[in-house]
Formats: sequence, C-alpha cells, structure tokens
Amino acid sequence: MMAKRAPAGPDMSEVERQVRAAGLDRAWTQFRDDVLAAARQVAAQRDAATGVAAASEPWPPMIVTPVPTER
Amino acid sequence: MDNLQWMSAAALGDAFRSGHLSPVEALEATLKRIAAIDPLVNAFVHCDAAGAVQAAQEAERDLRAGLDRGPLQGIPVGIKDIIDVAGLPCTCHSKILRDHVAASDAAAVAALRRAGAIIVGKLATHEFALGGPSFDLPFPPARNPWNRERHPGGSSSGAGAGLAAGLFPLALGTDTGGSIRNPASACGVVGLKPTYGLVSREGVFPLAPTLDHVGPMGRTVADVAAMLAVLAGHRPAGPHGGSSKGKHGDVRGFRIGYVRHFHERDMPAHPDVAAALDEVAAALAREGALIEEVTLPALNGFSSVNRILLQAEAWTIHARWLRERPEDYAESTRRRLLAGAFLTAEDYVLAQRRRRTLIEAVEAVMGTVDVLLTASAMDPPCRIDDAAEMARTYPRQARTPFNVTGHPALAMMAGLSSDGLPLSVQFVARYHAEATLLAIAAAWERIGGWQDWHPAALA
Repeated sequence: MMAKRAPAGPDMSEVERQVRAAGLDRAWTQFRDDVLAAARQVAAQRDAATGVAAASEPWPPMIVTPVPTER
Repeated sequence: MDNLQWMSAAALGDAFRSGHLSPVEALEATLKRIAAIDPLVNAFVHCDAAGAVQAAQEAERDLRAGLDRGPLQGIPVGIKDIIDVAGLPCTCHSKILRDHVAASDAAAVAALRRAGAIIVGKLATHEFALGGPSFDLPFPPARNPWNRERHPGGSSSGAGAGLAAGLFPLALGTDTGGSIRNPASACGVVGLKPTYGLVSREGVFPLAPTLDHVGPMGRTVADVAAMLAVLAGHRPAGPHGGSSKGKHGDVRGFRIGYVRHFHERDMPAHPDVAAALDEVAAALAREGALIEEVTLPALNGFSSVNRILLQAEAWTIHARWLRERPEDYAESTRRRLLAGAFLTAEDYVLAQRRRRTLIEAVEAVMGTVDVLLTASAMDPPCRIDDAAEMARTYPRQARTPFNVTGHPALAMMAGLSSDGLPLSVQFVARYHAEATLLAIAAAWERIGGWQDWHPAALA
C-alpha cells in the first residue's frame, strides 16, 4: 500500500517574498508562526477549491434580484 | 409585573399601551437585571444607563401624549459593538479601537431610534466580528447562559447571550459567515440574516462587504419580524402576494425543501442535532407542509468560497493595522486576517466566479420550494476554553452558504441536547421573501413553544 503523501508546505522563500511585498515585516519578526499558519491555510484552501474551467460566464459581480420574487 | 425579563417586545408594548407598565419602569428592571446578571455572561462591552433612561423617559412622554411610534417604542435593544451609536464607544471588541467613540448613529440604529427603541448599550463580539472567543482582548468573551462553561456562538455573541439571559428582548447583530445565526443557535433564540442589502450597512464596521449583512435577533419570531420591519423601512410583503397562506403560522401547502445531505453526508452532525432536524421536518409535515428532500452543492464548496472572499476583503480593511500594529490583535484574529496577504487577484476573481455558480444552483432549487430546512450548527456548543474543540466544531455549520448567495436565512431553537444545550434549525427563503421565512419560523415556534424555554440557572 502506498503511503499517503502529506500536502506540500508553503515555499519559505516565496512566503518571505510575499511578506515583504505585503509590508508585513513587523509581523514577520514578531509573529512568524502566525504568518506561516496563515500562509499554510491559504495554500491548503487553494488546493481544496474547485476552479471554474471556462473563460465565459459566470463572472462577478454577484447579482441579487432587486425586486420581491414572492409568488 | 412578574417575569419581566422574559417578556417579549410585543408583550412589553401591550403593557405600555394598556397602562400596566411604563417604559421607564421596564428599563429600570432591565438595568437592575443587567447589573446582577451581566457579570456572569459578559454580554455587554458598554452599558449606557444614562442614555437609556433619557430615551425611556421620552418614549413614556410620547406614549402618554398619544404619539405612538409602533411596536419598538420603549423597548430596550442591545447593539453589537461593531455598529455605531452616536456618543458611545465602538471598540469592535479590540485593543485597536479601544478608545474609539462613534460620532453618529449607524443607519440601522437611527431607524431603531426613530421607532422609539431604547439603546441600552454595546454588546460583546468576536474581535472585528471574526473568528471565535478570545481571552487576549480588552474585554472578556461572552458566555452561554445555558451553561457558562460553553461558548455562546458568535460573532454576535453578546446579543445571543444577553437575549438568552433575559437582559433585553431585542438586539442588532451582523452576519458575514453566520454571525447572527450562530449565537441564535447556541443560545436558543431567534436570529435573522435578511436578504443581502435589505438592511443598511452604513455605520457598521465592515468585515467583508460582499458578505456582510445586518439583522435582528430576539426571543420570539414576532419580535424579530417587528424589528425587521423597522430596519428595512417597511413591513415585508405577505408570503404569497396577499393570500392567506402562511398567516397565523398556518403552513398547510408550504413546500419545504429539506437539505439533509448538509448534515448527513457533507458534515455528519451530532446525533442530537440530526434527530432534532428530523423532528422539525416531521412536525411541519404533520401541520400540513409538504416536505421533500432537495440537493444543493456540497457545503465545502460554499465554505471555501466564503473563506477566500472574506479573507481577501478583510485584508483590504485591516492591512494597514496588520503592518503597523500586529501585536494589538488577538492571536486568532491575527492569524485569520494575515491569510488575506497570501491571496492573489486570481484567487479572489475565481472565488467570485464560483460564487455565481453556487448562486445559480441554489436558485434552481429555490424555484421549486417555498423554504429550505437545513442544519445551522452541526454540534451543540462546546466548552469555551477548549481551543481544540472550538477549532474542530466552529466551522461545522451550514450558515455560510447563504452569506455566499445572499438569501434570507433564520436560525432558531429546535430543542435541547442530551446535556441540556440548545439545538437549532435554519430556514432559508427566496430573495426578499422574509415574510415566508417568518411564517414558517412562527409555525415551528408555535409547535415547540420555544419562546418559553429559558436557562433555568438564570430564571
């Protein structure tokens, strides 16, 4: 039986690049665990999310029917 | 009068108009109870006794002069502390805004004041309406009146706790991923997230603007309906174009779509929750409703879209503070908000596109039924200090789908668990069909008599 492979963690150099780009140097220094936890969470949810394949509809923004629809 | 703390807004209004009670007397009893009970449940961040007394005196004077402003006149109402009330602190339960005082009323608060409601104070929330209860904030987290070791749900946690503890009959909450319906579920009260945009968000600190909703909470369906009418600026239309269907809690002929897969397959619920939901469906069927099982997209599709949209939108609001003073957030809030820094434009746009597909799928089902019946919480509320159990159970819910779609949704009591904690059910209606939603909820309330169930320890 093949062992289940653990999901890849975020690339540290990529995380650091994003941290710098976002201006989060202070959080990176003081709360590195929190920053890494956030990066891991986003990576996991991106893997879990199902994409929309077609380039056509549907597109945002959300449309909520502006008038009552009661029958 | 006896048992004033459990009187509904409607009963208080009747007592005011019959002369058996005055708004000032009712408020004095309310303030006395808040002083005695609130230290046990931490529903309030700030109680405005002086302002409330002045407003009660005005309500009393107006009623005596024959100026009747409607069912909320003289009724004490609590306001979640991310909603502006002129002259009162609006801290968002955070160190970041601990000294912030609102300059003016939020539009919803102004509507309540015009209707003669008495604003009694600002209510506990999760920090910036995000995440769960935290112990590293300037104010303690609210506790569940049914068992003070358990969490009261959130993020409108003070609203749920205060209603269940008999501190006020109505409260104003907000809901971005279930934050009105979660405390309503955990505390055994009624919480309504209206159709997206029906109630103004002006003057409400945003969490994620395309998911944020403002709505009423109360101990009875009728009170929530009356408050919604004030907040929306009109009484929602009859459920079926003025026909008698749905009136007086008559559900004969209502088509109810039971979304069983949410709590059976997508997120298997605690057995007490599943049994309670089956009983709701069976009881409404006995009353003449037509119950049919329907299938929506799986829960995790909704929750992943909700999470990406929420984190991306919240990042745009909090980025500056996260850069300059990250140490001033609670740890759990900081972790959740920081996630927005790692999302891309592609993530956000794809999530919005997936949202459209989810809306279309729900709309297709809503076209075949009057109301959906679903789980709200998958578990009874766990211990507030059990971080692992909080992390496991908090996302186990079926509320976020209707933040993603914008449909009106209401959560209310559906019995008690084997260990005496509130169980809940959620009803969902078509866009702007709040009247239908309230009619079904009123029927279920009449069957269960939930409005008379209160925490024994705080009777």
